[in-house]
Amino acid sequence: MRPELEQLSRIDSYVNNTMSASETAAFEAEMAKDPAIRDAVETQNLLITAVNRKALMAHVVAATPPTMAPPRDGSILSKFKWPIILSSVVVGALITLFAFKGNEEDVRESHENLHANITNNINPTKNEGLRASLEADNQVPSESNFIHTPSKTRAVQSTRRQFGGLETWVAPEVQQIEVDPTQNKLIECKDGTVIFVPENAFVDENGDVVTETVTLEIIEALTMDKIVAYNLATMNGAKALKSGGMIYVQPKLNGTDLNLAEGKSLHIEIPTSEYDSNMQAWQGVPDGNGNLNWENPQEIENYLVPVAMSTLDFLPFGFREEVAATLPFKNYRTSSKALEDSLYFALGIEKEFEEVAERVDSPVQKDSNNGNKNGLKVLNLSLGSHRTRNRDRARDFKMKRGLGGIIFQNLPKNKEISATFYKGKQSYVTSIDTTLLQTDLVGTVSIRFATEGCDPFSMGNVLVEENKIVYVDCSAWKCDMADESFASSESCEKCYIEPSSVFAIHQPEFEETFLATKEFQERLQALHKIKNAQPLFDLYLNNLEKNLHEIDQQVAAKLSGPNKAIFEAFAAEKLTNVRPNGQEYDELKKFYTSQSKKQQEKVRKAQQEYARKSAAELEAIQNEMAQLRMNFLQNQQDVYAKYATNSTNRSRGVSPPRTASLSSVNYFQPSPRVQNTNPQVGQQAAYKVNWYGTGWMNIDSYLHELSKGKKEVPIHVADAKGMKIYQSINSLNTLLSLNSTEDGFNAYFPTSQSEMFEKSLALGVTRADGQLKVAAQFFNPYTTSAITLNEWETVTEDEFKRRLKVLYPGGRRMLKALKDEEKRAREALERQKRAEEQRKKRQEELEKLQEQWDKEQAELQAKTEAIRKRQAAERSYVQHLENFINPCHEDFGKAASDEEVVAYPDKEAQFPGGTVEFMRWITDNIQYPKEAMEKGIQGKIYVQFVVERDGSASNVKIMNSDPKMKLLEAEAVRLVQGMPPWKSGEMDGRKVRSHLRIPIIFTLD
Amino acid sequence: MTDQEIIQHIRDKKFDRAVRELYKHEPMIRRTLFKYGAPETLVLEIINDGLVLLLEKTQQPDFQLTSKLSTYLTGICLNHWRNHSRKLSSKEKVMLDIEIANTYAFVEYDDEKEEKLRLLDTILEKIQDRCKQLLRLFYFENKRMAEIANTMGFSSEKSAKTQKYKCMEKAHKLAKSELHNLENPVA
Repeated sequence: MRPELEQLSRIDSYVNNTMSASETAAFEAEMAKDPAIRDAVETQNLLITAVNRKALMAHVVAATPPTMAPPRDGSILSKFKWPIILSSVVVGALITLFAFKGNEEDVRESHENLHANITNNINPTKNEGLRASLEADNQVPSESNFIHTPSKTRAVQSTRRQFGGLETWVAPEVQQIEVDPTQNKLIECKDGTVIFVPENAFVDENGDVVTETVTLEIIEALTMDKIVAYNLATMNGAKALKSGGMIYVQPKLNGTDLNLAEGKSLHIEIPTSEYDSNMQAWQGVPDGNGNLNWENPQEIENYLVPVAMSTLDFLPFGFREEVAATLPFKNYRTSSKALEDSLYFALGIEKEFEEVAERVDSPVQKDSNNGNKNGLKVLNLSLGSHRTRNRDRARDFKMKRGLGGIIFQNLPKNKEISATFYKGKQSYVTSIDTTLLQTDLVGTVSIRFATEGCDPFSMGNVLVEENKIVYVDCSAWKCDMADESFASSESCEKCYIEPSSVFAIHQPEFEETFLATKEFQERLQALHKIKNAQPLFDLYLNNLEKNLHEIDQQVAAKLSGPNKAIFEAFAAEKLTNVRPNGQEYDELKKFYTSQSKKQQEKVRKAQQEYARKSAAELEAIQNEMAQLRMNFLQNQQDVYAKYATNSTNRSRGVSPPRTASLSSVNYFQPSPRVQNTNPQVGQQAAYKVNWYGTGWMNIDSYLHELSKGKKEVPIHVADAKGMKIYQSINSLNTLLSLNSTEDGFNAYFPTSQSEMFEKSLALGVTRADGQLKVAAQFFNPYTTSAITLNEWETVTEDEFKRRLKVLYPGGRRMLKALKDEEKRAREALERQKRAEEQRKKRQEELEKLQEQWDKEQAELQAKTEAIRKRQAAERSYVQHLENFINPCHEDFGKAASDEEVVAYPDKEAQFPGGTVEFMRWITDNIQYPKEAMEKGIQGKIYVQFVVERDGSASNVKIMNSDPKMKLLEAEAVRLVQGMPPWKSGEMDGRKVRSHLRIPIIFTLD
Repeated sequence: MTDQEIIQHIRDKKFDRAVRELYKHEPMIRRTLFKYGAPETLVLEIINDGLVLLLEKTQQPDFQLTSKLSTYLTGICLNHWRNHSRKLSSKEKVMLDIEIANTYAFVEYDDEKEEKLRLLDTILEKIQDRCKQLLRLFYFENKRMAEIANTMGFSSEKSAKTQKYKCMEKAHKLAKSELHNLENPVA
């Protein structure tokens, strides 16, 4: 054998004790010198143990009861994966933050990138970053297939400068769109104009309907720089106009102009950020010299276009962010629309319904003894087809009183519930089929009451269908309605619009009404900010058939101060109502819905992207958080929950603690049908007009301010021939073409000084020999007596356009947009700050808990330390004893005198007959103390005693002394003292005194 | 079956009966382990490991039972869990330590040794099955070399012996590096 194997053989022999005495001595001498051998011996010992254990494990596994299938592969630790439980808290908070930012950008960029967005969104679900689960509850695909031909739009930059009789200064940007004229078509133009083309709308010069593909030429002139560049003076004869945007639409077939068929109209929507209800639609009539005059004004019909209810958001602005910033709540860690909704709709459901009285089968019976505060009472509540007399049955479902009615919770699903209510002389029998509601509500039904003095909910007809009745109880509204100034009424403790009524209108039944419009959403958002706005809210609901601006007016009349101004502004928009069965209605509705969904989709993608990118970063935080959680999950949750509820209070300005009532609310289950909408995706306002013609169209209104008196400012030019001089009022989108007089040109202004004219522009343009010449000068007409335009420059078309952009940096629209953007940014920042504060507070709470825990831990560790010390002392004692018996140790043999008590003798003291016999003896002789038996005292007594050299027991001691066990201990001592003599322990061949410990177990059956 | 009878069974190498008997305490041990944070997925393994340790200990001639076997087994399992559960929070660990020190102080459990044995267990997985069989027959079943040579088809007792040392050598080599790592963990 090799020497290595030889060595192993020796080690094995040594370990197995099969060496001869001399060999052993030699080996041990070797071992003492060589640590490697010592290690090998240890390893061999371990190896043998391991081999034995493996064999034993085989036996154990074989004997394992079959029900416990042992998954035994690999070591314990390798399979151990500690769950990271708290992870999503952080994710939720960060995502929300980002979502808002993403949204900000959306709004900002939507205008410029509209086309890009559309093409990107045609296949919204093909994005890799999007997880399958999200796709599933998106439900976008079917509707987003609605494509409005952006791919065929071509922006053409030609040198042509003649359009519809107008000669422009520079070649305009023409959009050419190919349209199948036999189909309804919705076109979205580059700058945001939406044009709906009805089917068979075009006829050729012979009046025949065109069926071949038609090219629509479109020029948008929505900003001042374009208006100037295209020579689009805003004038009606000599009267000045201000513009809300101009557009040129001309259908063409093979280069020939087409006309609109009789009775057909194009529906045109021109976006605006500043809605002016005085605007009219004007027709551009060429004067034959390449100029346009705006004639035939037509009123703009401001009707509303409803969108899918699911794309609207009726929750108060900022509520969702608040929820997201203050999670987790209960088990929810990430925010979702469903969660936010359920939290919102659960608000206001506060008091337990106090009395559930039963009057079986007599719904009209009068008994007002048990009426609650509002005199409302449930007479009868039964389940299924049979009514129950059992009071407890009725109490099975929880009833909660909100301000306007009762909400039933925990209703059994798929069962019909019928309930009877009465107040005074009126009674209503209500039957609710919860199957109708289970998807969204999971057994929560809101019932409102009709009472004297207020009309039943006017939409009742809709809601009464299908056994579902909703009444409104306006007298239950406690606020003082006599006070016309709702804004100043402080008398109401709860003065917000009742969430359950918001819930009620957020139903598909209302999708054909003005409730389902962005415009109403705007109004509701405004109402949310007004105190005690419930009656105002009800005004809208009760007048669904009226024009929106009429209701706006009514609401404004009930308000005062800035709130009044808001609703007066709404009224000034002169918005009418949803136009029933409009030709373009369906397409527009689809369009708006899809736009809305696209925005949501973008936000969602942004969230996804963010989540993906920061996954690694988050993981680190998660791990940290998971560790924290391990320590005090419960405490932490309490803290979070506290903040979640506190913050909802704070945001409404209501102070009473609501933790209890909130936690007892039965939340709606998140429904996959509900989509994650974002409230702040605003739809731009637009001038909507049905235009019965082609060519140039202008949304303008008279500039009446200009005709108040006449202050003239002459504009001198060297040579007026072929020259066009404009007077431009930048801030009003007004461009006046001036007539030459003997002196040159006269700009004119109202006599009284007005800020809006202070910055006027005198602009001269001429085109001679194909060259553009421009001169411009800003002036304040009230400090200037005359202008001389003498610095003429020759510019290219591009240079001209560029300069115009400098002269007209977007005009009012741009300024407004900038301001809005700034405002949004500021708001976002504030929300961010608030969320940050929340987080800080939570952090502080956590730190406090950490401190507390550290303290607790220190105490525990001190305890452990004490126990360890005791153990160490015991160990050292044992070591000490071991040394006594270790012949190699210097302490060996120093004791073990006759009187010494040996802890570990060579041969331990034994009961005659062995352990089994001893057990039997104990069992036979034990006398359970009667008193202990009566008191039911049981336990285990450890008795230590010394076995004397003669075998008798002495020094009997109880090791685990306990006052409660006194009786048992006495018996144990008696027992031990009465033992027959033992075989005493032996050491080095002689009898010694030795310690013995035995447990005596007292158990009662 | 009394505890003494179980021990007698173990000493007589009637493991299956003993284990089946001991398994009756499984629910109780399981609960205790849960109480001290052992996850569901590991409980059975811990108990099985504990049983092996119990079998090993009770086989030793100097083993003296100072408590009920079930208590003893629970103590081993708790020790085992404490030793193997690196992921216990410090609070849980302290609680577990206290429980072990107070209730199961009599249970001998050498953390370091168990750690090493866990390693050796994995090492044994790495050597040939034939080697394992040989070692098991020799050490666990106390078969004579001649007998082993016969059962396993070695040409002679001597070649069986050489084979055994070779197997040992392999295990020793693996153990040397692994144990070294254990004692000097790479930072």
